[in-house]
Amino acid sequence: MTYLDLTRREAEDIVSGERIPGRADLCDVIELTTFLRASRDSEPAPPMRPDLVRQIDAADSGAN
Amino acid sequence: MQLTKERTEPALLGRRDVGTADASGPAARAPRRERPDPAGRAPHRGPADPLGPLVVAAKGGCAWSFERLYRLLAGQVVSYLRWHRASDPDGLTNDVFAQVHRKLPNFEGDEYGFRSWLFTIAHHRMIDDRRRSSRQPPLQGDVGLHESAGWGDVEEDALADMAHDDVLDLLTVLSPDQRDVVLLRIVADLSVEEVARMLHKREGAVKALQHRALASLRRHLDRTAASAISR
Repeated sequence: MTYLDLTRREAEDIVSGERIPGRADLCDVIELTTFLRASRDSEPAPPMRPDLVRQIDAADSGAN
Repeated sequence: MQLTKERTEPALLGRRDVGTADASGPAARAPRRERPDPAGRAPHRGPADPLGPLVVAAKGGCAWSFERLYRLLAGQVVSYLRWHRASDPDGLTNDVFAQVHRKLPNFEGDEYGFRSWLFTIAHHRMIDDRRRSSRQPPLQGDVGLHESAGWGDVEEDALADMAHDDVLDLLTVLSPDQRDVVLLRIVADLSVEEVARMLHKREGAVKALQHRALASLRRHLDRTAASAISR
């Protein structure tokens, strides 16, 4: 099935981060998905709140 | 990472399981997963997934392992929440992991199941947050959208913010269902099957949603480029 000249297989390839040879017209949407992935990978873990640290500590001391 | 203390690594888990980089920084991302592809294509190649042993140890109450899981996955969760315009992505991420920690003893599954479970909780938290926000007057400014750290210097930050804002605007062309599917597939890195289970949809419906979403994005990007050229 195609939709605006984009097959389901191509959509799956784009979402999976696969290359699609011969489809230079898709470079903008591929760039967008690459940006989303890159922003995810560069996002640092936020600081752990003290209440979460306490919760983990309490469970750890209970397990030991 | 602002933890109150550094925990001692359990002897059960070797260093190879958690990587050698400072786990508080961007290099501490969990590696891409490797799993069989139903379509028969080669899976993404990467280091062995460290989540499995950490999940088992954290389930048994090991605080060190849970903190490692947090450091490996919290950035991805915060990114997912940020792209959904959550009001307080950092705070919600802490809420998500607090819930995961409470329910972990009852969790059954492998590392893939854990990841899917984690993002299911994050997704539900995001929906709760959206409902809460819709009942409250809007805050001054876009809280949560520009708090991302770790991009580099001021100029880079400004460029990253511009790109970030453009992509946020772009995502608004999608229906809520399409946006959920795109972000769960790309940012949460879940399979079609996992997304279908999470959203209570058939796999075919998820594939159709991602297909229409990408077609919409492409059409919008083409229009934007055309209008930029005609100016």
